[in-house]
Amino acid sequence: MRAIPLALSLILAAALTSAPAAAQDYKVVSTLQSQDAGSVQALAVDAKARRLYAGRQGGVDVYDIDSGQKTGSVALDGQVGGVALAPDLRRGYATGVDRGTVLVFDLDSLATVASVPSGGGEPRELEYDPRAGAVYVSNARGGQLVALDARNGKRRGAVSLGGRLRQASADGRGHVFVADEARDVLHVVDAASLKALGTISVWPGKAPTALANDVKERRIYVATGNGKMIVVDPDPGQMLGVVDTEGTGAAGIAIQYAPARLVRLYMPNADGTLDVVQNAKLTPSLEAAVPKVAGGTAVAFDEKSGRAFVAGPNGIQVIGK
Amino acid sequence: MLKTVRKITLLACAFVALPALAQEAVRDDALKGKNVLFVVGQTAKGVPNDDPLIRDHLGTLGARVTTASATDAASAAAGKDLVLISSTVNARELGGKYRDADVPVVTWSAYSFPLLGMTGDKLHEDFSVVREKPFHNENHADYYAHATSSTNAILRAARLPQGMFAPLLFSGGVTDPGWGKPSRGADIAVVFGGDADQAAVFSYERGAAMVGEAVAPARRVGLFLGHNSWSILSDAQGPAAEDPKEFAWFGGRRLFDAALRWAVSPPQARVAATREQQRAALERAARGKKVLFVRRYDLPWPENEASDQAQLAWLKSLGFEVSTADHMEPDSRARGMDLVIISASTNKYKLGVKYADANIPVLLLEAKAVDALGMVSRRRNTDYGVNDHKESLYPPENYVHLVRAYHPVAAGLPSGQFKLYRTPGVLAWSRPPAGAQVIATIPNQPEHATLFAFEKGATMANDMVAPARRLLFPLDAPRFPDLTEDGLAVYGAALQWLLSTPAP
Repeated sequence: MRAIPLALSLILAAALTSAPAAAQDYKVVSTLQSQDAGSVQALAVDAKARRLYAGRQGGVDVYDIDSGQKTGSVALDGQVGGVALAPDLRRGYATGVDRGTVLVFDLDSLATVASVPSGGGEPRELEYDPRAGAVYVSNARGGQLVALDARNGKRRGAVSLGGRLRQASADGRGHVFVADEARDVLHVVDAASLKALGTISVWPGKAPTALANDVKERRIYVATGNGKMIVVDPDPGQMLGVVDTEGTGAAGIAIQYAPARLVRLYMPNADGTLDVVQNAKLTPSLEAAVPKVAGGTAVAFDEKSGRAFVAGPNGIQVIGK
Repeated sequence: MLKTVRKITLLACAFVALPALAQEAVRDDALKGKNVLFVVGQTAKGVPNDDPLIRDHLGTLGARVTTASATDAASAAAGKDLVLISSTVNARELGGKYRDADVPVVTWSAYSFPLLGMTGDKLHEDFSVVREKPFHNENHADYYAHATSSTNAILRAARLPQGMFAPLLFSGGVTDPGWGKPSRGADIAVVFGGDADQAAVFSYERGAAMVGEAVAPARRVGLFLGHNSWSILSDAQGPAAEDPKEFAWFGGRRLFDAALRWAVSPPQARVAATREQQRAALERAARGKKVLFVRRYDLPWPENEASDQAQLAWLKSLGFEVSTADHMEPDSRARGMDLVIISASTNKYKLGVKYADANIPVLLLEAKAVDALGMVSRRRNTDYGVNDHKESLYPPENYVHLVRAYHPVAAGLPSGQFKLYRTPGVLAWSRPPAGAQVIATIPNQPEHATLFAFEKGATMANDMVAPARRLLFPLDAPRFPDLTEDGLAVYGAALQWLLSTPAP
């Protein structure tokens, strides 16, 4: 008779552990000190150099990932909306949302290399394409995608896509995918000619803001504003999976590889929830939703430490288990 | 007065032609505003279920969706434009609840196929669910399929050409598709493994004979989806949509939408004209039309000669301008003609493959030549044969079973058996490919078509494309005088259909 309660306990324990991980599994490990804690809207990690770049009101702060100490900064007039890194060129890039500019800086000296017009209104996310040697600027207002020379910031060309452009992702095979928050699609652009090649619906997602491109597995994971992460196969150009998340108003997406396969995605949301999606055997499912802990305006992931950095009203929080 | 008569004549012509055109009326927005009853069930824990996604998708197409469970009364379908039955439903609980519903039914519950009269009831023979583990190789093979004929109404609506394509996205993960083996009254749009007995998408027009004695009370469609197939139906977007081959290859979701759009579109109407009206319409169609009647000259059998002569006289009485050609003459004789009729008095071995590539309609009466004309595959007594009093396993016959009463060639006759000839005799049968429109089979031989047609552009046997309309009427050499009144009406309807303009 005593075996029954024991068995029940075991079943209950198993059920608890197999359910989406409890929020407490993911916790705030530490918080990075920031000059303007609430204004960080862009994060980027240079894992090899052990640096975290945080775009905020008035510039970009640089942190040592391992110590958590701020080691430098780059000044920029206005709010930074996006940051991208080109470690092979030793270049960094940041958008000035209010002034419509893109700042090119040296990753070693943090000195300004150039400040150029973004080519549109309200420039947000940036994408570095090593194959093309270009940086793509998503101008949210007006829908201009602008290509800049990654070395010096000189304008190479632009394509008018319309809508409200958010994060772009180059697949290294000649295509750039750009989230359109207003039209609920991904634009597909030919990287060489900057010609629009068509659109891919992110239905049933709405207001896509960020995307992660798993080029080897030919999948794009799209964070959307209505509590859904959409999985797209870019070859036929179609949705092939939906993960219902718990937060709303996704603000970014960061991916974790271990070691060669995309195993996890982190998505901060405007409502303060951090959704963590695991990707076991290429089948994504919600692993955890961390409510009101991490906040959410931007996210980045450090492969070495296995920790995510999430920006929000409480500053840049380091999330781990 | 003359103008009024002309107008009436034009209207009458339009009325007669209407059934042939109605099938093409599948609008892109056909589901907009339609009331859909979606009958769903539950999946086991951990088994994905695409029903909520499908429901949302139907909403994006403008449909108003109400859900029901297997235990809800069939009256739930009252006032609805379409009933959808998901594979998640418990088919045992649902039973034949919507079998007699006079609203269109689309189902991807393979176990419901037999309960709705759409297939036989033997699992893995008449229908199947190709589960991943026990059928691993077949399951993977079913990520590929074949569109049977570009003339199929659902395929046309889906803009899917004939040939191989990928209905499911292989990278999307595992799913359990199903298939059915419908009756010859069905239109098979898509098959797995190139096998018409494994139909992935099949449909019955309203009034079509289904399995057994069942007649479709409204349109019916069987689909291949498993519980989680919908989300991995292929769908070309972005650059892939601009590449014609990729667009055709990734057509799974278009196919699903097209099947539903076809189901809610107006069905083909059975010919309602009286026999006198039909005769008058045929005479109008015949006026000025040139017919080449290919036969064997100097026949040694008086009854065959008499039959040919009776046909020629009848054709002339209708107003056709009839010329004759011996079966040994070149088929260039067809130049300038509107129609070729190949009499059963011809000898298949002398006729050869003449007229197979004629780009004008051909009425074939010599059933043994179905393979030579590319209408049926090549194995005699397997792909085609005869009921006769000699060496056939099948006895002489004079009745046929009408399986497409709605077809213009059915001349308005009701579904089921009718007497084609006064006396039993030679009756040819064939197993034409899925691109054929089988109008009648032989009683008790449900897989043996005896009267069938191909639309212009339809895929015939061995992937040959019909250069113009083709029709096999089983009129053995001496049998024209033996045709019943109904039989003669069907023959006349066949001529009129052959001469009418195919849908674009």
